[in-house]
Amino acid sequence: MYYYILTKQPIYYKIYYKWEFCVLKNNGIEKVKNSPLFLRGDIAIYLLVIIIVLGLFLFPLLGNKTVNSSGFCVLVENKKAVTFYNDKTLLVENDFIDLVETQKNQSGYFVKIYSHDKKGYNVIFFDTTNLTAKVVESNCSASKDCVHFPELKDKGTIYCAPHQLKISILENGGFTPPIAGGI
Amino acid sequence: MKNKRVFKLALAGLFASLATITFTLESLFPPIIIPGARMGLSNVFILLTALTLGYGYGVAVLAVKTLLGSLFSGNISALMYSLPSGLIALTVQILLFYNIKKVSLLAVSVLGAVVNIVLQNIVFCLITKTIEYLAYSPYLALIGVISGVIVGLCVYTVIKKSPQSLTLYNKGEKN
Repeated sequence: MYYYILTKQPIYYKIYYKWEFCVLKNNGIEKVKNSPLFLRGDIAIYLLVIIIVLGLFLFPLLGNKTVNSSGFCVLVENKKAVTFYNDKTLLVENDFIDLVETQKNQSGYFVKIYSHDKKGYNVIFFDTTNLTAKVVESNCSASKDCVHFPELKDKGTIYCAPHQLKISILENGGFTPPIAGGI
Repeated sequence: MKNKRVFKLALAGLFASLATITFTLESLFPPIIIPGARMGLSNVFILLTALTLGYGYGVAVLAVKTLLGSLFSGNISALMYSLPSGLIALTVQILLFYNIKKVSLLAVSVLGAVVNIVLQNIVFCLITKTIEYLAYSPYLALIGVISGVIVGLCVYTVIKKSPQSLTLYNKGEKN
């Protein structure tokens, strides 16, 4: 009778029984207590880990090349907010004018960008002499990952996940700023 | 032990709170070399729960840890990429450890940590559309190896040294 019920179950019941047989055991403690730190089967797993690590080292070869930068571009939620050009001009887009505060210093610009609810902010520092960008202050999370990113000069991007703010490099030959009074 | 279910539930709650505390404390320190990289030492309690109480309790503790930890550290968007990768890593660890005979806890823990940290990075890149961060993944995998060794040694020592009376409740009974 029991066997009949088992065979007439739909397919996901069979999958669940298989799953229960493979995963929901409780001999974990006994297995750990009776085994040493190294067994023969470990060699295969360590080899797999080494292959994974070596395989991942192919990724940096594909990208992450240095580019000839002509400035930096700040995107908030995939919309362009602020652009800094290497000729020391700063451009704030129309949609973000009431969300951005700028402050000019001898060494560069401090740009404070608020999020849409005006609670979160990031302060970005654009250095006008060395032509670098860095997030100097933020209230995004306790760990403040975006502040710990290295200075942006000719490669990489800075990303702040809670505020969806991304600072990337403007490549040379892309968009060039219009010159006032030019033809 | 009269009421085993209550005992197991209380133990799972204790492990969940310990994991959350570890996660929150860890997020206060600056990252190691790579932005956003952490050791993931709270996985000690998740692996311990999954081994001593069962897979279901392990998943529950993982969910509580990621939810509360990301709420406390103020980074709710981290939930999207840390929960699925943690779940996959835990399942891989448990499947390997229970179903292959000649495999020790240390190797399983190392593989789980590497899978966890690399999957997190890949999911992060896919969600935020920042493909250039894939370049970090080999270094993240190396951090994962170190953290996996630490986690594996911790869990091994705890289970090996704890007295038999603490683990008797699990004997001869189904989850």
